[in-house]
Amino acid sequence: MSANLSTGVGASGGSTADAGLDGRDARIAAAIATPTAPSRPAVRSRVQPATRRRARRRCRPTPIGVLGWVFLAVLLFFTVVPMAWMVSTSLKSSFAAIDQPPRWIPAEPTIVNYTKLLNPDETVGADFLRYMRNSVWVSTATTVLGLIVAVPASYAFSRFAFPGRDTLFFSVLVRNMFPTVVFLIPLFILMRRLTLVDSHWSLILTYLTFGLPLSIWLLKGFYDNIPVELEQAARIDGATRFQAFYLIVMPLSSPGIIATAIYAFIQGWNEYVYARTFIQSDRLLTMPVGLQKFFTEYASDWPGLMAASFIMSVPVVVLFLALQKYFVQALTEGAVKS
Amino acid sequence: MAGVTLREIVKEYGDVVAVDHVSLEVQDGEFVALVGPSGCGKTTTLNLVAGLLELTDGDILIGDKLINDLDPKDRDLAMVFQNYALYPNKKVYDNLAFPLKMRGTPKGEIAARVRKTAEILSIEHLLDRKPKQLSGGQQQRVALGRALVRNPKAFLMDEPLSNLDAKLRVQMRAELKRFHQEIGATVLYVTHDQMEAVTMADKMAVMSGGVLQQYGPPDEVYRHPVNVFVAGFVGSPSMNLLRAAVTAADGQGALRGTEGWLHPLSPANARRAAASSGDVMVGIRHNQVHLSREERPGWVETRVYTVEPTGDLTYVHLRLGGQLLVASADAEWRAAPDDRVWVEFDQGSLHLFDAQTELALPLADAVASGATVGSARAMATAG
Ligand SMILES: Nc1ncnc2c1ncn2[C@@H]1O[C@H](COP(=O)(O)OP(=O)(O)OP(=O)(O)O)[C@@H](O)[C@H]1O
Ligand SMILES: [Mg+2]
Repeated sequence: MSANLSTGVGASGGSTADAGLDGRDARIAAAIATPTAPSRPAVRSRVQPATRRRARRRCRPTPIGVLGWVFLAVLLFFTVVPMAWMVSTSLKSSFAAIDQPPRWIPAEPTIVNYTKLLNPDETVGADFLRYMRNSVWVSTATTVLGLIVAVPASYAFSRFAFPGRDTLFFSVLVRNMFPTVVFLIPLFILMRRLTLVDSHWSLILTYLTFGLPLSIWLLKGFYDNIPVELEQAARIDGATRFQAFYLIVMPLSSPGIIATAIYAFIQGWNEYVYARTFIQSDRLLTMPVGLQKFFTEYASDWPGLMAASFIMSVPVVVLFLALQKYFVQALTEGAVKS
Repeated sequence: MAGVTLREIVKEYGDVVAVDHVSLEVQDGEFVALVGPSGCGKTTTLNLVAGLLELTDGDILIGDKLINDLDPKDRDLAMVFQNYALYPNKKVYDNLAFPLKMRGTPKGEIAARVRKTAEILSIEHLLDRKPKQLSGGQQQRVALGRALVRNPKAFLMDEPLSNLDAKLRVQMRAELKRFHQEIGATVLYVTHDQMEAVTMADKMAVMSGGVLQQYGPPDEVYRHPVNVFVAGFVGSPSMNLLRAAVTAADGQGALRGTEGWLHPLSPANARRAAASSGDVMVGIRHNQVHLSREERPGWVETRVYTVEPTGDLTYVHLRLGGQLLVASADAEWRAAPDDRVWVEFDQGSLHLFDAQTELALPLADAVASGATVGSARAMATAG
């Protein structure tokens, strides 16, 4: 054919035979193959620019950076000083507490205020421990019930497309757009209808209405970041839909669940306004309200009050310190979409 | 192992038809590669077979059992995901054991099979690690291992090698092929990389826009693309495709390109071209473009655009009117930009498509369709 007769430059592509393949296949293979497809960038690289930028900022302080530090220092001052003062006072006797000028370090530190509060044989101690039990029960019930609802709800919001999903998702947040006092009277009336006034359930239900929407949001962000392929793989590997969730997704979302739990618990633990309004019997009071009662009953006993305040803040701080790793992880991983 | 049959399967997402009446038969023990541009419905097809998505229409059979409504766990398939989908909170051992555990395999047997699979893939030393502590290639092996640890009816693989670097990819390709041959697995394999399809697959299915364009052995798809899309998609560099009118010159059939060039046609090709409803698309592979530095009668004048030496051979990009044309030449071939070069298209391997329908024009009547591959080879050797 003309190809071989011509003295033009030969244009056969057949010189590429690999050792392993016979000539024909190798030729086709070489000809068909695309140059290697660009490989997708590793996920890791996403983090690097930010880290580098931060490193640079550390070397050369910018005006904004300095302002930031000042702001943080002021903030720290306002949070730490009252705490320190609280601890200091709680270790003093009643007389030492009103010394002028005030001393930061108690001259004769005493733990009697604590032993009194934690001694069930004293009236104060009995009251205090009861408030504490009530608070633990209300906060725990709120947390557990909240999670029982929020975990499946946020998973459903994240994974399933159903009619009205977005509307429903945003309407979940409507509750949190209003100041809490707005709902005080309506909820009180509602609770009275339900004959729940002056019961812990009125508080648990109310706290759920605050906590659930945010829990659902937080957890949904978390589920969104767990690749759906993991569940798919599990289902192909022989798991039911529920097993895929329970065995694969749940453990992966545990930081989110823990963070949500801390959040819900603290909300219930600290809440004052509703507890004050809904609960009338002294035996049902939760700690914030009980503490306030101490103010009126033992007005001069500052060290006792401070000790009670300190004990009240301990569970929150301990919980937070123990689980802060998960909390931070939840806030960053849940919020930042890849 | 068993075959997999797709019958007219359809998947719609609202208005989007992701998979459009695809029919495909994967024989027992066959390795079928599913290729196509991004978004053409490859993953969707695979997920339909796996049962992760619901069919809009059509049937899927494994062996001769209809599985349309079967849960993924009951389909007895194994899948390798593009992003591996290793369970991040489980050690490699537990990743491999998971499919067995879920199916209630006794503990002793699980341990034995995990060890054996790990041995085959040379990942025994990694069993105590978490997926995060593995390199990409190691993760890929674990993902493969999680599929191999069972004895499923068929394997589904969604671009399992696409995250690996080029060298590792070549190595894993060889290992996958060996694995397929050793256990006679039925494999449906999605890939972007045609080299993978060509080197590993018994058959190649080319998809575009949710529609199956062509299904056959790779060399048949390469030699006889059924339409312009397949012609342009399969092969690298892509086939040159030029639009031309069918005319006559010097008493012989000829093509007149939209860029003004004139190229004679052999009598057989002239008969094919005449069957077109109007203009034709001429397809010509880079290695079937003959080059000459001197003017020759009937040859088409072009200008050199760039010359790309690759080591084995040199790709020459040529300007033909506003079009670029790629040809290949010997490794030593060189030219300066804008040099004049004359080209001729090899008549024996000219692809002709109806420009209107984009379908291939059948080869000359003497050649029965069954003998097409043989005749093409005969022509090549006769020249
Ligand atoms: N959940 C969905 N909703 C709507 N459209 C979808 C959905 N999933 C996929 N599609 C569409 O279906 C088509 C096929 O998608 P598919 O993921 O199967 O492509 P692909 O061939 O695997 O592409 P790639 O090579 O990029 O992975 C695309 O056009 C895509 O946009
Ligand atoms: Mg895909």
